[in-house]
Amino acid sequence: MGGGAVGVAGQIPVEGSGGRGTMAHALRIQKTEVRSRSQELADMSDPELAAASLAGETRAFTVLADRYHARLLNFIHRMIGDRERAEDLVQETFVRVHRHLHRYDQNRKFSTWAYTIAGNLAKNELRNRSRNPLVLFQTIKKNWDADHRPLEWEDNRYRPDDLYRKRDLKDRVDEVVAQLPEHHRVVFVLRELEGKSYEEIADITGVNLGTVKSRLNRARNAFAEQIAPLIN
Amino acid sequence: MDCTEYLDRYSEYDDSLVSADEAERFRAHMAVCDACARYDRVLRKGRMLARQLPVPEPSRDFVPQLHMRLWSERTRAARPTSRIPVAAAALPAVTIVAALAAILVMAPASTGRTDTATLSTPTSLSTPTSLSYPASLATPSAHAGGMSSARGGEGARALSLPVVRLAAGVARPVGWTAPRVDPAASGSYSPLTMGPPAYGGAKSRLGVSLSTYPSPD
Repeated sequence: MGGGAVGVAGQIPVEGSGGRGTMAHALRIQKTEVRSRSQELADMSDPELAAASLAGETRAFTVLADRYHARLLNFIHRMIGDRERAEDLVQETFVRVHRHLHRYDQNRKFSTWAYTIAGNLAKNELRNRSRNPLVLFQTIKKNWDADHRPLEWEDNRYRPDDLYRKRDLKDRVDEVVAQLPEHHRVVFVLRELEGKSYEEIADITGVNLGTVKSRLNRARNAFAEQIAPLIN
Repeated sequence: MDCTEYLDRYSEYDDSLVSADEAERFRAHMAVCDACARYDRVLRKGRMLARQLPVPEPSRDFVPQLHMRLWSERTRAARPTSRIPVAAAALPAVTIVAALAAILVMAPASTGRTDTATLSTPTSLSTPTSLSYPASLATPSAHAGGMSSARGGEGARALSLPVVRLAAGVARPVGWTAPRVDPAASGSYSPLTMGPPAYGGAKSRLGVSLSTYPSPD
């Protein structure tokens, strides 16, 4: 066999290679190329990744999905309160994003578009849960009260002996957020936890800026009233 | 500024959406109102705690499942779709079913009681003439026209006669020989005479004649 005997494990001499070319060497070159392309993709912006995905590069969309799946999971989980179902909805979000990627407006932030889809899925999930007429009525009434009651602040002082103090503070904060009315909770989570701007929140929720401000203010008021006894 | 205005517009101040002068008004009010000052402290602390809430960890198979669903989605999108709409593809089947239904409906509807009597269980196998049958069906040549008028069409005859003959052949006892029938003498012929006369015509294993029409003796 021309080119020398097989000696080192993993090295297979290639005839006619003009030297001791090895399969391992070829594999190393390929790995380097893949790694550099992966690094390139990781450095791309969202619109660039979307364009690459539309051009046929499947890894580009995977990078996009990996970039946002944790945040979307947190958002949907805060909305519906069910982690397993939230995972299903995040996957559904990316399937829909992939299906309609050709419609993505590159002048718009990709995250805003993804959050819009995720928010709609979460809203539908909550709507499906409240098909019971009585539950639906109670939800509507609760939402109306939340929008129309006067804002209050009764100077709730720190009460170290309060029953709630016995629970972990963060658990209580978690509960308070979960108990906000749905249309207040979504703006509160998007603003306070996800750091979205008013314009992005308006875009995601499909309401105007004035409504976003009003709902956020009411959400903060309700939040403050509930956690005030726990905070010095 | 009073407490009502402070509470109504707090978010604008908190998110820096007010002018510098307006922000100063808010600060001036907090300086003289302990309740509103505490409101500001509670919200800032609460926001900090909310941001420290644990972020749900995806399950171990979340990412592989997500990649698998994306792969399935790509495969589905790449599959060529039929250009024939579902409705159009189902049209031939619907047409065939409708035609069969029409044949079955028309067949009993266009025949009278005679037909029903003819196809009822014969009272005697030795008296084929007791099984009345429309005279128009006495000869094979009349079958086509007769059946078409009596039974609603050639298709119906094609369906019913062989079926009836086969059923009769299966029901025939072992060793039994069909009686000879002379259509000319009896003036009628009925498939319920257990097949054609034993003239040596080819028979299937079930004893059913493989010929369509009886051969005269």
